[in-house]
Amino acid sequence: MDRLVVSLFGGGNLGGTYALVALGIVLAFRATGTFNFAHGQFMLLPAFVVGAWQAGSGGPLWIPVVEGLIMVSALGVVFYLLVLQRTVGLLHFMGVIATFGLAAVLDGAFLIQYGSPQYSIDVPGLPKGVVTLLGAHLSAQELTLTAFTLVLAGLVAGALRFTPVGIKIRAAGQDAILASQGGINVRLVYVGSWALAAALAGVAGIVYGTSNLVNHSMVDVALAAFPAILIGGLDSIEGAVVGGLLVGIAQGFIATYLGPQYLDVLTYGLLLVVMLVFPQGILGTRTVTRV
Amino acid sequence: MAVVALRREEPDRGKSAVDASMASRLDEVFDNPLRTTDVELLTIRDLTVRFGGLTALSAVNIDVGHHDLVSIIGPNGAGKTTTLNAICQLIKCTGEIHFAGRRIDRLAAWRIAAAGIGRSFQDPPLIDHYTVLENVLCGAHQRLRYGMLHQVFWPPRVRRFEARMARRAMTLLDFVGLADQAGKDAGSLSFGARKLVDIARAMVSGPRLLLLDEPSSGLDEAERHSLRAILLALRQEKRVGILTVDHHMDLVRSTATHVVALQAGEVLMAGSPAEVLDSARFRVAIVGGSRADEKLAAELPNEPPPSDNDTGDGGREEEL
Repeated sequence: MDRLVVSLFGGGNLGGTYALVALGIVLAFRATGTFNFAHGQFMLLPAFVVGAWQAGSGGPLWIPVVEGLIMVSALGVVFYLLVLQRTVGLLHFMGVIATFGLAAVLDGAFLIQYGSPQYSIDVPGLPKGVVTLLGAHLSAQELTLTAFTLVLAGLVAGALRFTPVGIKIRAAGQDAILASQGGINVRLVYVGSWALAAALAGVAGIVYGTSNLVNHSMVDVALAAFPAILIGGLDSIEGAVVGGLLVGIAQGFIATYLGPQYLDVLTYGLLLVVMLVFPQGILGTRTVTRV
Repeated sequence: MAVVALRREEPDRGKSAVDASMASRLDEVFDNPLRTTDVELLTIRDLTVRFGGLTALSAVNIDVGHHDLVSIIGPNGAGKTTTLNAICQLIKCTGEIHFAGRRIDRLAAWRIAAAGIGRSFQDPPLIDHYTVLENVLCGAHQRLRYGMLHQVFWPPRVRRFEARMARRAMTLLDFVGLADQAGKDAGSLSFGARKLVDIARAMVSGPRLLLLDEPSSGLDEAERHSLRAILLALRQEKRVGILTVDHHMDLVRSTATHVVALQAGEVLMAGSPAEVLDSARFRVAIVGGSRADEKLAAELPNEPPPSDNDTGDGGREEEL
């Protein structure tokens, strides 16, 4: 039973991070039809800012957190305005190539600015110690952060579903021309989408950095979230949260019962099985061809 | 010499096409009339659109009065849809476009929609997995009058507003004859019904000008008959100015107050439906007229078509 509980909550912790990352990628995808392969670097930037701050002068945590999130949001906006907007009307992969380029540029910039560090992020005020649940010993800090990421992902998905701003973001992502004819400032919505997507990645990076080392390998977490996105549905905001949670929990069980060497093969195996039954993802939009 | 009278055809002033109840419900939809009708609703001057080396429109002039139904006709590639896209600023253009006295040719597309121009499309951009009602409501974003804070702190206002918008959408679905389809997924509709949903979507924000891009294309005879009734009702009720692009001459003849014929991006001629559709010049240029038409057209002096600002309410007779 304790292994079950550890798998569930450990997987939930990872799932919360995947959910935030996946939400950001889906938001950016709906805005520009582009998979952002620099999303891992978007995670890493605020984590580096916070980690470097704490390793250096120290001081209130909120300062580097706010600074890091503003920086990464601005980066997302600038990248959209200067690069991605100009790929509209071109072949789809042009935007994807552009994100690869951004990823390479950011990797180089991080190396120059931070070197090859191994930071860790300490969030003061988080409960320390161990919580015993059904015989399993769980980290109180991890439980808190899991709850935080899941609640945040749920709130963002809920806001996108029910609030006027969220409705406009979804409308613009659905059909830009139709949205503009409904009076929606599509350009502003896309800018906001990229800013929010980058910020979500930044939060995911900071949270991930509290339980794991902050180094260049963090970008792999974003790549690991891609199965979550495809399982949930590439164009589904709710699917991003569901897919992230599903993949995270699945990986928790795989790591506990089978071992970490099976993580990749079984995660992508799960993806293939879901694709067989739901080619559009669990909550993605089914394509209907009218004949 | 033949005299061509350039007159707008006046709307039928007989019995109203809609009953009092529907008229009252339409009042709720078209609830933002213009304060003044001293200027034309839409004025287009020297509209030119170029795609690289290709000139799609060249110095096009069109006027639409507040309660007119102006039809743009012409062969494929004449620039009809391009005209609508230019008005909506979905493509770049030069020239001047004035809407209710305000210049709009430098505004973003969403601002033009927010200013009171509703647009339907040749291929209705409906969201198949949404219901018909939800698709109509897609046109109502600009009428949203609540924000996130209202949703948190004042839910009754939000509920009232949502109910009001749903009533508007249902009124329009009733008007176009699709009220019983409101709960169906748009993906299950026939093409003709999708067209009508798209028109309802274009109207839900209560626009002052409707741009309808080939509303009758793909419709069968019964559906065209319904569309004709809808257009005539809108014209009779004087709710909104309408600018359509259409290929069906019968529909144009029976609904339009004014017709503009385009060919190769230029205005070939403009006038009342009878003047344009029955003219030899039009028949020869557009549909390939009879030998008698060709002979008559050859005898006509080669002069530019009359500009639309000559067609005032009293009309003007022009000698050829």
